[in-house]
Amino acid sequence: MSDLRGMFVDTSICTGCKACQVACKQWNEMAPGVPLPMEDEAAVRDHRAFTGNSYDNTGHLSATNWRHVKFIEQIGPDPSTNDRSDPRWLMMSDSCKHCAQAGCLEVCPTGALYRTQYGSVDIHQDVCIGCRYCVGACPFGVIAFNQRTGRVNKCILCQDRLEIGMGTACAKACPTSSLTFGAVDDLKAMANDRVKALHARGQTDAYIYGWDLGNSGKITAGPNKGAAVQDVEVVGGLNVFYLLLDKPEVYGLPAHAALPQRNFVPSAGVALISAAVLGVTGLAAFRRNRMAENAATAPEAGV
Amino acid sequence: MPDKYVLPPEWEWPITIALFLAGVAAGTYSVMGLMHWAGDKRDAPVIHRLGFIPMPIMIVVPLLLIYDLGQQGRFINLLIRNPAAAERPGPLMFNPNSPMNWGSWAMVIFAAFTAIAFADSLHHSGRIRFGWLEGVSHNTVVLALGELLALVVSGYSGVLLSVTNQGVWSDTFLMGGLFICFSELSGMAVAAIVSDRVGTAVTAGAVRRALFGFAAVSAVFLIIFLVGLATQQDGSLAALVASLHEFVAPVFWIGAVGLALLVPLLVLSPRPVMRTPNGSLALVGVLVLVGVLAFRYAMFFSAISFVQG
Repeated sequence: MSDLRGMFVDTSICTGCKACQVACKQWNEMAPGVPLPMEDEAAVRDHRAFTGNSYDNTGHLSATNWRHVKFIEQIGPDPSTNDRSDPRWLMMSDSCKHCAQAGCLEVCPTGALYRTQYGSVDIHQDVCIGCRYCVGACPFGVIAFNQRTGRVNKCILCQDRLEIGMGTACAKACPTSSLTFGAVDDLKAMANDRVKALHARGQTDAYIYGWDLGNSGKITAGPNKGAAVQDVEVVGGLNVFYLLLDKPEVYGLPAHAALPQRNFVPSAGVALISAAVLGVTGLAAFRRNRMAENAATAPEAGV
Repeated sequence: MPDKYVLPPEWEWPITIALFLAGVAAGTYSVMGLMHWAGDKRDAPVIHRLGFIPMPIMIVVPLLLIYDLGQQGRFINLLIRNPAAAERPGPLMFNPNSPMNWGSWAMVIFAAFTAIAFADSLHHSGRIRFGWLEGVSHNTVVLALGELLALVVSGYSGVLLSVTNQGVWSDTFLMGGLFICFSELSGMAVAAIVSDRVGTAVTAGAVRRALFGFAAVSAVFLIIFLVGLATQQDGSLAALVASLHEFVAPVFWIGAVGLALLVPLLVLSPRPVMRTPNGSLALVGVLVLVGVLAFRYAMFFSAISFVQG
């Protein structure tokens, strides 16, 4: 059996209770924090520092919110009308995906981000210099800069718990088994079985985001009703992966997440080409007319 | 693909200023080397004045970059591997997948070459004599290595922006090329200012032609950059347009396009459309430098403001 550990997030049975968020905060001893708009000075000044449009008051993942339960409210088939028939709430407990090919880890210039023996991506807080390159490189907007400590933070898959044989705090606290911790291979098999079971029951919109296990289906409700969906494998696979019931974008997940390094060689190549073009242009500017001038005045070459 | 799934890196103004200054230093060094190879004795006064410029700038640049770090005291972790860091061979820190590491090392080594150029200029000014330096500073291999490092310093920040997942920056391969173009443009702008003061007519004429040529090449690259974004089917250009709002839009169009590109193209064209007072080449150089700073600002804050918006 592989040593890789991860989590399977079955959004079809998430009730949005936020027990996972609370457990994460408690275990990692993080301050309660404030929802995003509270960080907006203007919003605080204007007493608008509250989402006010959802039970989701965390807003998004941050340096002090390593786990975030998303509330996706689909009120009626068309959000632009007042038709409130067939509403549904999609819930998803989000966190770092611990990508098999992690953009944050790839670009880290100090080696502060590293791969653990469990395949998760952890941060040496003593090594991080707070350059924030990893923040822009993460395709999921997970890793975030902590203004208070001057370093970056994200979910570390409870590395300290794993080392003493415990699972993650969030999965332990989940009352519906929406979050399951375990060996990635076992979780993939479990996820595949779950998708097939849902399809057999007529819920054909279930599919896996993170690994391509060959499932496909059609969305059965909401604004995207009837659209085709299929398993999505991104950045070489995700050690924390999801069973979704709508398009990835609906959950705030990119459909085509990619490693930032895809641009490295082409961008460097174009830079070399531009340098060559400028070099030729500059040489031509200084050489032009000088051949004749040099022939006439025969100045000493070089300086 | 432009998206709002990513978080902005929250880089602030010191980074913009630092990378602009690094571009000017690298561009000035490149132009100095170019004039050394392609010029002659008549260019010597300008070449020796240009040699004074990169080193002081390369002292300021790291200070600005360190200032912007969350943990300033740990900047050394960029160069020397911290014992707790991820395993790498040797005591030095170099992650070949990270353009930031390439840039860090290039700046450190390039700074040594700027010091040689500075000492050589000091020697030629007659203030302090370093006779032994003559053979080193004018050595073709030394100059070629310095030029190569100057190019890395010029372009690495553009490549660094491309190697992210931020909309606009990561939608194109051209950022590194564009940054090199504008760095070299700023270097030639510095040469224009210097040659207007101390250069011969021959040097000033060559610098005029080169500045016009560099502006033309940069304009072509910028057009390809915008067309490239426009032809993508995922709304990359729309993202750029959306991000070029409020203060960033006039900075881009008036500064980067107007001052950095149109001014030299219109004033220094073989058939000038505009003229500067007294035909001042220095004024063109100053306007181009302001334009290059505007370009850096607009490119830097376009994606960040898009994500934050």
